[in-house]
Amino acid sequence: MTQRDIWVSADRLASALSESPHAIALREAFDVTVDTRQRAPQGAVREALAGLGMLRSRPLLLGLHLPQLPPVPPVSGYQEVLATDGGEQFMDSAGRMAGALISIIEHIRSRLPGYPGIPVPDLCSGSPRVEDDGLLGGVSYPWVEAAHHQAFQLSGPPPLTGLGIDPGNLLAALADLVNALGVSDPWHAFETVSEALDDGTRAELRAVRRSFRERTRPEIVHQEAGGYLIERATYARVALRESRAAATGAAAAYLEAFDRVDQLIDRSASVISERVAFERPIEVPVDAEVSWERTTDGLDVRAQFADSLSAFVHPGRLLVYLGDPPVAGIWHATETHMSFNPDLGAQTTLTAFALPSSEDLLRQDS
Amino acid sequence: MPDDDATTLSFLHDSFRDWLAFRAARNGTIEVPDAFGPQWGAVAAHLAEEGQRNAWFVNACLADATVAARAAKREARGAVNNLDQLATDAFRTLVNSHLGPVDEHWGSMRVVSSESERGLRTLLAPEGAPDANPTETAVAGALLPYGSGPLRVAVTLFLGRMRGSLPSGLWPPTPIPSDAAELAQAIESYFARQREALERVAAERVPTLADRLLVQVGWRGLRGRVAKPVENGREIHHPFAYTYDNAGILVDVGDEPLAGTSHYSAAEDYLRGAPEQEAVQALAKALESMLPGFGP
Repeated sequence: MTQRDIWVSADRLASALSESPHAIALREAFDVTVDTRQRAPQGAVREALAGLGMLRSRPLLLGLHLPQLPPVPPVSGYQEVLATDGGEQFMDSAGRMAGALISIIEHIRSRLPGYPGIPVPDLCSGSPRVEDDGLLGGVSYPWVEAAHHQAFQLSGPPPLTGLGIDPGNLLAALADLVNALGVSDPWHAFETVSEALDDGTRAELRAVRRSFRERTRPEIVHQEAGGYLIERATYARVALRESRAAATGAAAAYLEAFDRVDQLIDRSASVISERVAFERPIEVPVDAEVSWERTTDGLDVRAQFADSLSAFVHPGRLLVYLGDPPVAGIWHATETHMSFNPDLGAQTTLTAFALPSSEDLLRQDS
Repeated sequence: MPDDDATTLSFLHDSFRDWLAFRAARNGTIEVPDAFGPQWGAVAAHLAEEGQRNAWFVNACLADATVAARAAKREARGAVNNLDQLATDAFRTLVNSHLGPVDEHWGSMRVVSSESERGLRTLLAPEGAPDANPTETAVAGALLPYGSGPLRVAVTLFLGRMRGSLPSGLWPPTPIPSDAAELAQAIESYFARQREALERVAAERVPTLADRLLVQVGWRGLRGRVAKPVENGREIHHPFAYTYDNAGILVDVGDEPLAGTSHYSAAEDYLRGAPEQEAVQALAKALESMLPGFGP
């Protein structure tokens, strides 16, 4: 089964979500092709994005994360956005969009075997995906504790009301997305290892979680990483990796299978978020120098090209590459770098993950 | 003749010297070795640009990764007989000679190329994999301009593997003390770990370039001084002046300026991050300047 249906459903879901006036307000802030001179909150958000780059990676979560960031003068922050004309209304829209995406992701996750008690350390408080609602989780989508404890597994899809649109199309696309994810290889692999969990493996996974929780007790984190958010998140990431590394055999296989399915859900969330926040994906120039290497679930790509796009490319953005297989299709940017070379001039180098089976999607002519 | 280590006092600008050496090599006025050392990089690049791309020339360039990368960047475009075989041999030589043992299994891959609408599509397939659909079995690949030669193909794929072979893990942050004397001590130990990590990673991952990389990074030693704390808004930090141009590692505390320092920061900022991470970043930056096409 290819993953094409996943990206198509995620894109349809994004189209339905984009109809919401709240989505339009958010797009005006993120998409620099939109003129925001008459819209004060969006202008303040752009200033905030210039200084707080991590907010760009998951645009639909702006309403969740911006209020949590401490002020970093002279960069605009939450208070500056609120103080603008229409700022409160804008933040209300941003909050609604964040809430909608979190509900969508949590509904999908709630269909995973073992939810909500999936025995992985990544879901413990103290994990970078959970702490501060995953504020410093990079391009990964957070496991928001408040959502995780709302018993999504016991109910149908979230109502997704309050967005100013008829949720019918939204819910139909969400159902298709859940189905497409449910028949994917990573989902099947996670079901298989979940069914095979025995007492010994559960005990080993418990020990991994215990070790991680011990290493991320607040006093230990403070002693090892001090008070800065970034250092604390780095410490937690290292503690997570090292705690997980102790797992062996079936426990290690379980953690690996969890990573694969978790990442796949994350990528579908990225497609939704990006397609709502931006009018169109960025096209990678066809004359870019492109190279790639195969990984378990797809292809890691690297592209280098003249600098005309550098202002628009950042980790988390979707790109479309119209070149040759196997890398033609949608890319999800993971790192970007701008440089100047005396021979070649300004250059953008980006690394990305090529979404499998996406070669004919999101083309401007389709 | 090219300069052995680019330090000889010369009456000619380096670029003229290299050009004349290239002309002499082409005309047979000087004897060209079968294996180019680093001092032949510019001459090899001129020869490549002029169209040299036979097996002998390619092999001579492969003796040194920097020469191969420079020549590859300038290699003339045009049709090549048995491109795949030449590129396969060159790729295997580069991997087996210039990368650490961690990459050994890559040394038996073969290059499969084909022209597409947009350029030369090159794939790296395991030896023995079926030919029917190499895209399915390929472990890596690149899209290059039409007419790219064997050096360009092999070096592009090789540099991709080299990038992938550098450690990319996470390292824990360093605890940052608040007292000046403790900061000085922490910086000494941070630098020692940083340099040890640099030497180890260079020797393990890019052994034939290790010595030159260490020179390029320039962490000879550390001499620095931590001054008394300064209050800046809500933050307190300790100014730190230092130089890497020193034989040993010595950081002290004092308010008198230290002669010969070239770098200034806050002691707390110097310690932010992880020494191993700094080492890998410095290594990658040095590789970028030594190997055209490597980075960033």
